[in-house]
Parts: sequence; C-alpha cells; structure tokens
Amino acid sequence: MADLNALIRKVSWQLSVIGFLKCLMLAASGYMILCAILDTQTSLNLLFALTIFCFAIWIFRVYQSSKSKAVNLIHRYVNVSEYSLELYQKSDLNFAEQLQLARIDSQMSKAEFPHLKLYNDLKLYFGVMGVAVIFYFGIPFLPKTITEKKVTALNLRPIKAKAISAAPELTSATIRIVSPSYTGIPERSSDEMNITAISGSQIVWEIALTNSYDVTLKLSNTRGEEVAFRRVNENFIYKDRLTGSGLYAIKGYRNGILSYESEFYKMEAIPDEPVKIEPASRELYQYHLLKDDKKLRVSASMSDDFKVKQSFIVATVARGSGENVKFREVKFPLFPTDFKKARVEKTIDLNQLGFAPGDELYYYWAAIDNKQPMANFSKSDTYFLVYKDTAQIEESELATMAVNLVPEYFRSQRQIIIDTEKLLAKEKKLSKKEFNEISNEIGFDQKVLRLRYGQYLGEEFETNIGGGPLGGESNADGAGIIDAFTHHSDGHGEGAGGQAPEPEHHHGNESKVASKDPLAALMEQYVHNHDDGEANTFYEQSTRSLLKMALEQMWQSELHLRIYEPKQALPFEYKALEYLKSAQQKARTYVKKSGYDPPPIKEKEKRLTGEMKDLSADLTLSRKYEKSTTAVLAAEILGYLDHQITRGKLPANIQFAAGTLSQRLVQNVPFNGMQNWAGLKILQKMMSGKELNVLEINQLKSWLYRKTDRDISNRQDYLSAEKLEQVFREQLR
Amino acid sequence: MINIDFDWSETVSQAILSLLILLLIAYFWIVFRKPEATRASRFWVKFCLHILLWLSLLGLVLKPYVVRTAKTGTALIFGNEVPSAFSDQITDSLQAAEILSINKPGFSQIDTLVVVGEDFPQSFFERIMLSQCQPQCMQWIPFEQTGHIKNLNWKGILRQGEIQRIAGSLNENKKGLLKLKYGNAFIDSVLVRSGRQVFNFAFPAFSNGRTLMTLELNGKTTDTIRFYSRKLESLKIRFLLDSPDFETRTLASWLGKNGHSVDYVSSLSKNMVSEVKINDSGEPDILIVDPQNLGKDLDKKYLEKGKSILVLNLGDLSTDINAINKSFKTHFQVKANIKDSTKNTSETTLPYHFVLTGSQISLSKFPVTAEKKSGMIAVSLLNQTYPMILSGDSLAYSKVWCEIMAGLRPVTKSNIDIQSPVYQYIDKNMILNNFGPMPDFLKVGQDSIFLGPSAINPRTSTATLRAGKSGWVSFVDSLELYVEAKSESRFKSAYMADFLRKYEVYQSELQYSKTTDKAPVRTSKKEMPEWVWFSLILCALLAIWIEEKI
Repeated sequence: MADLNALIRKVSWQLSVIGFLKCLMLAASGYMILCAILDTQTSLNLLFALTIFCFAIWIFRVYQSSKSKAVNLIHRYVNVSEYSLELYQKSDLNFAEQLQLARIDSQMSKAEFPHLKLYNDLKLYFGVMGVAVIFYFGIPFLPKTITEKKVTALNLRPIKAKAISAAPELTSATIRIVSPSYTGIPERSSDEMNITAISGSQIVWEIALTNSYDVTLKLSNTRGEEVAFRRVNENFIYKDRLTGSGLYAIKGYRNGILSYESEFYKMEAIPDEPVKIEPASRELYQYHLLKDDKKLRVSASMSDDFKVKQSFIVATVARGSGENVKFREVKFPLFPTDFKKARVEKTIDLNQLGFAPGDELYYYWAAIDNKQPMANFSKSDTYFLVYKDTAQIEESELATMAVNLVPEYFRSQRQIIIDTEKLLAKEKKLSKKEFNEISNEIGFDQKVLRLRYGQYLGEEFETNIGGGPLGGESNADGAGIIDAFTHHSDGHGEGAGGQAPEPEHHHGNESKVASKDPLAALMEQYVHNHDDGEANTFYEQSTRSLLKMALEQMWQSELHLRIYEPKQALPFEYKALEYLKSAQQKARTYVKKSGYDPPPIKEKEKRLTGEMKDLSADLTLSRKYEKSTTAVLAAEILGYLDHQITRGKLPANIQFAAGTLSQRLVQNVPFNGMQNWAGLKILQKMMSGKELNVLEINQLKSWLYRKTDRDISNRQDYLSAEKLEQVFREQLR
Repeated sequence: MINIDFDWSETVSQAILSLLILLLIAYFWIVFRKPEATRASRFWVKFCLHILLWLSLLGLVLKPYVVRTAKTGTALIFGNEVPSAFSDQITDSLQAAEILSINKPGFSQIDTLVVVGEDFPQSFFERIMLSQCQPQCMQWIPFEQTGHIKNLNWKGILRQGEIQRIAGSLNENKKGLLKLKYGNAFIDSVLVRSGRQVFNFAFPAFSNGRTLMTLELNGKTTDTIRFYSRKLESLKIRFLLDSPDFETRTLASWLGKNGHSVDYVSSLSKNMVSEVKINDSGEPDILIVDPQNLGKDLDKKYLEKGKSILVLNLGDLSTDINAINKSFKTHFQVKANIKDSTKNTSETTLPYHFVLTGSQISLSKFPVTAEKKSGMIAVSLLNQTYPMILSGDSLAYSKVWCEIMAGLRPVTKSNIDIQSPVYQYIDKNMILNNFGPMPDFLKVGQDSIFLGPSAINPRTSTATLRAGKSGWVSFVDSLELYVEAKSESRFKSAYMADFLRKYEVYQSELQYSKTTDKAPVRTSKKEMPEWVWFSLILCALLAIWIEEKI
C-alpha cells in the first residue's frame, strides 16, 4: 500500500514539474520571438515573457494538486489497478473495498509504471521552443526585406520606437596604418582611434557596429565635411591618405537621421623632416691668401629621419669687378649615398676651379632625402672664400682711416669705465698699494683720452702727460695733485680763465712736431689746423659744446681716479661717455642735413586748406564686430561648468558659445597644431550632450582658463553723494 | 533672604499643601494621643525628630532658596575640539577664571565668559540666552587647528575683470605651499611658514557665471571657494580728434573687437569730419580727445554727467597740461624723466612722469593719471602702443589698455557688495549701490529681503540676508549667490562669531535700558538640591526608628 501511495505521489510530482516546464518553455519562446522581431533586448520583452509564463500557469493549473490526474494516468497505463485507486482516498471502507484494495496492492507491487510516457506532452513545446530559437538566432541572417516584411506583418511596435531602441553601437574599430614604402616602417594595426602617422601614410578604418542594418557610416571632419564608409559584410571600411593634421569623428545615419556619433579623435600627420646639415666650419667668410694650400678641405655631418638619398656641394666662382663680373657654378656630388647619418668630406681643388687672386668662391652644402613622390631639399648657409688680391689697395681704405678714429675713442671711454668697474669689483682682493696704482693708471688713461679730444677742439697737445709717478713728487701732502687735476670753474686752478697762463703756441715750428703725439702728427697732415682752434675745427656749435662738456666730465673723473677714489669717478665717466655718444649722434645728423634744406612749412596756415570740391562730404563709416572674442566665449562656458551638467540639456547660449569656440579652434588646427586637442575633445563631448566626469571638467576648466581675458577691466566703485564727495576731494587737496 | 517659588495659586499646589498640613495633624494625633507619651523622658527628642521629618517633607515640596548679591568673576568654557594642551595653556594664563562644563554650565557667578573654540552644542547657546543671570560680556578665543584655514573671506558677487581677493589665516607647523586652483590650473600660490599667518590672493575674475576654486595646502584640498562673476557691461567710447592717427585708430579697432561701441570722429579738413562707427554707439561713457579738442562745452557736459575723459596725443607738454588744467580745473603736473644711460629708452611713452597730488591716481604702470571730478579726467603720456599689437604682443597691449579703461569706466549700475561665505541661518549684511530707483526689497531665492537706506549716501542701501536654503540661490535678477550649508565645517566658527556679535548688541541694549530704567541688582540664586531633602527625610525616619528601639 505504501508503494502504491509513493507511486501516486511520484507521478503527481512529475506532472507538476512537466506543467512548470511547459510554462517556462512557452515564456522563453515568447521572449525569443519578441527579441528577434524588435531586434533589441529590453525589460519590455522580459515583461512579455513573464505575462506568458503567468498565463500558462493559469492555463495548466500548475498550482493545483495533480493527484487525481496522476491516479487517472496510473489507471490508464497500469491495467492491474483495475480503476480502483480512488479507494485510497476513502477513509471508511466496507469489506468488499478492503478486499479489492488488498488485491490491487499485491498486484501493483509487481506492475511497472511507464514514466517516460508522461513526458510525451513536452514534445510539442520543445517544437515551439525550437522554432523560437531558430527565429531568434536566424533572423539577423535573413535578408533585410524579409525582416522588414515580417516586422510589418507582425506590426508589433511603431517605427519610431524601433528606431530609438535599435540605435547602432560601436563594437570594434581597427585602424591600419600603412606608412609610405620609402620610410621602411612596417604596417601596423591598432584599436586606438587617435592616429599619429607619417604624412602620406595610408589609413584604413575598419568599423563594426551593432544594429548596423540600414546604417550609412561616414567620416566627418570638424568643418562638417563627410566621406562615406564602404560596407563589406557587416563591417564598414574607409581608406584614405594622411596629408594633414586635424580632428575627425565617425557618424552613422539611418534613413538620413543621425543615429550614431563618436567623440572627436585626433589625426596627426608627422611631416618628413628635410636633411639636417651641420657643416664643420663655423666661419662663413674666409680669406684665401697666396701662400695658402690650394686644396680646400671641407666636411659636414648630415642626417635625416629616414634616409639621405644624395648630397652635394654647389660651388660658384665669381671673377671680375664692377659690371664685368662672371659667375661659374660647379656641382660636386658627394659620397656615400642612401644613408641615415654620416659625416661627408670633400676636398675642393681650387686650381681646378681656376681660383685666382681677386676671385671669390661661394659654396654651400645641399642634400635631398628619399621622400616620395617629391624629395625634401635642404641646403646649408653659403660660405665665402675671398682670394685676397694684395696688389690692389683701395683708396677707400685710406679714406676710412681718419674716420675710424672716432669710434675707437668712444671705445676708449667705455674701456675706462670697464676698467674702473673691474677695479671696484676686485677692491677687496687687492692691497691698498696695488689698488691705488691701478686707479692712478686708469686716471692716466683718462687723461690721455681727454687730451686726444682736446686736440679736436683745438686745445693743446701734451706729450708728457700724466700726473707723474705715484706718490707725487710735486706735493707731499697730495693737495697739489688735486689742484692739478681739478677743473675749477670758480676762479681757481687750471680752469679759471685768465689766471692760469695759456701755454705757448708754436705753429710752424718743425722741431716741436717731433715732441708731439704721433697721432697728432698724423692728424696734422689732414686737418687744417690754424692758430685759432675754436674757429677752425669742423664741428658745429652744439657738438663743440657737447665735447667740451665731455671733457669737463673727464677732468672730474681723472681727479677722482688720481686721488684713488674710482667709485666717485664712475658717475663722471658715465656722463662723459653719454656726452661723447650724443656728440657722435650730432655729428651724424649734421652730415645728413648738409644736403638740401627745404624751407619750413607753415603748418598752421597750410593745414586743412586743400582743394575739397571733388571729395564726398559723407565720410561716415559703420562697422560691426558681431563675433565674440575667444576670451568672452571661454568665460561664458566656464561660468556654466559648475552647474550640474545633465545629459543632453545644455542651454542654448552655452551650446552656441561652445560650438563657436570649438569651430574657431578647430579651424586653427593647421596653424597651431594639436595643442588644443585635449580640451576640444572634452568640449565636443559636452556639446554632444554627454555627461562629463570631474577629471574632464577640471581639464576643461584649466584649458579654457588659459583662453580667458585675465586683465583688470573693472575697478569696483560706488556712486556716492555728489556734494559729500566734492567736499572730500577738496579736503584731500 | 530665603525665597520660595511655590505657586500658591495652583489647585494642585494647594492640595499638596493641605495634605501636608493634614499629615502633620494626623501625625501628631497618632504619635501623641496617649497622655503617657508626653510624659516620657525623651518626649522632646522624639518631638524634635518628628518635626524634622515633617519639615524635610515640607522642604521637598516648597524647595526654598537663598538669593544673594552675585559675585563678579571670569569663567572659561572650552569647545569640544579644543585639545587639552591648548586648554591648559589658556587655563594657566587665566588662573583666576572658573572652568565651566560644556554640558551644564552655570553662569550665576560670572560676569565675563571666555569661550575657547567653536564646537559647542546648540543647547549651550540656548542655556546662555535662557539663563537668568547672563554673563555681561562674552569673549572668544578661536582655536586654530593646524593645517586648517580660518577667517576665509572673498567677494560673493563681482564683475568680470574685477579684482577678487581671497584672504584668510592659517596655523601651520611646517613649511609648505598654499595654492589657489581652478580646475587643474594654478591661479596663485603663497609660501607657508610655520606658525600663524595671514594670506591674501588677488586676481581679476575671468569667468562669466558660477566659479568654483579650491585651496590646496601641500597638495591637499582644504577649502572650496564659490563666487558668482557677472558679465561686465560693454563701454561706449567716443574719439574726438583733430586728425586720425595710427595709435588711436588701432585703439578704436581693438575696443571694437572687444565688444565696446566706438564712435571715431576726426577732422580731415575744414568743415570735413570723418566718422567711423563701430558696433553702433550711443551716448558715450568715455570721451577720448586730443589737446586740440579740449575745452569744448561737450566735454564739460559729459564730465558733469559723471562720464570720463581721456586726453592723449599730447605734443607740447607744458602747454597741453596747462590747457587741460585750465579747462577742467585739475592739478596735473609733469616732470621730465632723469636720463639714465644704463637703461634702454622706450618709445612707448613720452619721457615724462606725473607728480601725483592727493586726488589723483595712476591708472597704469605707464604714465596715465586720472583726477576725480564728477567723472574721471585722465591724461595719457603714452606715445606709441600700437607697435605692441603689430609685433604680435596683443596680450601686453590688452593689459595696458584694459587697465586704463578700467580706471575710466564710469560707476557701474546695480552694484552689490556681499562678502562670502554666506551661511545658512546666519545673518549676512550686504550693501547695494546705484540701482537707479532703489527697490524696496530684493528677491533672494524664494525669500524677499527688505532694504534700509544709508544715512550718508542716498544711492546706497543695506540689507541683511538670512538664507534658509543652502547651495546656489538666485539673487536679484539673473545673479546667483552661494549659501554654504549648515553642515559645512566652517559653519561653527561663523555661528559663534554671529552669536557673539548679536550677544554683544543684546547686552549693550540691556545696559542701555539699565541706565534709563531702575537698575536691577545682579543676584545669584542658591538652592538646596533635591537629594539633600531626601537624605534628610531618610535620616529623620532612621532616627525615629532608632529612638523607639533604644
């Protein structure tokens, strides 16, 4: 009896499981069919499946006890049960029933129940599920038209909802970069969308998208120009040559509507650099003398980022002078060729070139690299070699001799300043005696200089210049020294007019010439030196006074140097230099003015008195700068970045500012390179309505901050009571 | 003097008292009803003990207290965050002061309360205000934790291009670097030495809207600074020149490109004037003239209206400066620069400089000086600035002219001066100036705040804001103000400062009323605690019981 009960329970349990399985299979089939039709996997499909499941449970009554059904099945499949199993359900049995039960019990222990038959019902559901599985996995492989027809026939969803739910997504992207063959760089592939390659490389994009049916994929640049990808099976391929730097994005269109847009990626073209030539010689201008070797040895190191194809020297010999100059150009190919880096040497045989005295040779290094189709050409500076013709002495050289004296003098004053400063710097290291000696020597130099200028102004020369030996023979207490070098203007000392007797003038006395300064002697041959120096020097009045002032400063400077006070002498030295410089400028101006001197224009009379009858009276122009500056746009965007940026909800003014700024900077990429790329990328992301993380916001902030105007353009002020302010201002004064 | 606070008028009180009297009668009746009891040897002992018991019960009910004239003294109270080392240091220096507990402070014996630190529970402030015997004076010793920035303040709302100043103090025990950061960019930084110090950052506001900056001490973010930078109105500028020249034309073009409206008028010939209008100008804010156009009625009319005048292209300085001074009654003086041969001479400016008087200000590092009248009168000794822009250094050009234009800009409208941080539930004063007709109230978020006119300036009003909502709140029309939440770490310090300020006002008002009314005597209340009464009852019961047993 116990066996029989166990059998009933077992069958009943199996029936429940089978019912549950049927429900599950129906729900799964429904889900898969819906997924296949809608082409998406959303929670809506799951809800649909759940509904089917619940409905099936209700239909199959899985929640009800299946004991009676189990008994019926046992009756059907086990004959020995004799349709008497209901007796088990009864509590009060009569005698006949008890006997029947005992009989069945004994028979049933030998009988076997065909459990497998219970599962026969499942075949149908397996079939349904099989169809659903085929539908689910098979529908993407069906031709589009069939799919569309099915969708239309089923008419499950409106078209709009379908388009939204089935937006394409990027699954994989492969970039293949084939560098130009001459570079020798192997082909490479990567999934990095930011491309950096040698200019001229071939780029192949291979993009795979989900839900890509009916999608047209395009490569878009920042100006909105687009080129379409080619569809190969499920992938999109585009091939092009890299010619310049810029940004690009990939856009997918379905029925003309933008359904996929990537962020912006950079595309950087690295140019093939021309050959770098570094000649060994730094001297561009050289003289060649008669005694020099006639074989000129030159060398240079050359390198290229790929290969130097050919290098050569181009030499030009110039002969003749004036209008009769002839040029001859010779090109010397150099070896080795086809190298990456090498030191190239060449010996130029000057005899072979016919290089003669008075000729000039110009030569430069040149090289081409292996770039294709057009090689890069580069050349070095031009070197000059001048064959010195000692037979000719130009008159101009003589002429400049006298003129060159002036700058030399100016240098001397500067030299005195330099020496004084040097002495002051070394003051601590030197002993007092050494210090005094050097100071005295500089004082001596100052005196020499003063006397040289003096001679320009018609003052007397001194051959025996200088304050005598150090320690002073003239006066033991040193007061004599000071007096000797003080340019007194208060009626004492040398400078006092009339008090110090003028040294005697000895013109025309040949014996005195020997005692003169040799320079003065030389000068005497060129300058017309009359008795009255004041009247016969070549300087205009202002120049003369300037030189005099310079001499006065030199006096003072010399004084301090002689009494070992170089620090006090320095300001006078500077002043002297300044006056000398001014005198030099004056002299130049004088020469300039020596030509035509136009009569002065009477400005007040002439101005605004021109003939005006043919002129238009309407001289009003109107201009408008409608574009905001980059700083204004950047400031506007920055002011928004601390708002909670929500996806796809950028205010119109910010969208406009970001768009304008982005477009402006993108157009500058060819000029400014990729320096703005990182910031632009985030800006584009913000514009496309995507959320930015904290790192991106901070990066964008610092990038835009550099573009803002950071000058003070407003001082905080308050409008106050006018009278009160007026009184305050009066009191302040 | 013994006082009782028992409410005789209340029925419950009357009932309790009646019961107590009944108890006394019943009690004596029970104890002394037998005549032999009164004759017992220890009758008076027993009697006294019973009286004591009853009195203890009465004391428990009535709770009598003694009122005395209050003593004066100083008390110290320490905030939760104050470490023992710091509190010991303060206690040592104020040895006479009584130290109060933060949880149950008594203020009866003190007239000066020294509060150390800022972390006090809300109940502390309530206790002070509810105390019958409040300290007359409260002093605050803030506790500055190492590495924490205190007294941080900045402008809550300002215009673009206006100088933002961020100041604060810091107590640090090691050398370091305090940086002001915007995004990843460093705006400014100061070296931090060990010890207490104040710092100050100043930079022109560059954004147009909400701005968030951070302060980083040794690479660690310590504070966040939020302010609103409002758009700066563009200027209307009129050039009135005797002849067009490259310098002014470049300036006009630069101004136009920067969004300002320019009207460039220059004489070409007799009765022939060229006019270039850039960005549709209206009545000018700034008039730029050359010395030949000085002294016209137009100039003075503009000046009276509070507009500014800039005189440039000076030729003969002594004549031109005299003409300017005569026309506008100004006091400009120039002096030739001392030639220094070691320095390179610049062609940008004339070789002169201004001798400034009290009412004059220098507008730039270059010799451009302004004197305030109703508007500004400025004189420029700039000679050629256009080479800067031609050589590509537009930043330097922009810096020079931005500074000058900033000084000449007439007073802007709707000025708001509010110092940040503004905290939730803490009063904040603000000043409003030049609002045209001053409104009666302002709208801040969902609230309205009323304005009070200033006594000395009819164009200024003041208002007090007490924000109930934290975060960015809309302010006036299109502006925003950041209100720091109550939960911010800086809040406690601000709350304490606000409380002390208000308490001082409150006490001074009290003092004022004391001088006008009859001054109450400052007293202190001494009450016996309840446990003493309970102990007395127990002791009396025990004594009665023992007395029976003996």
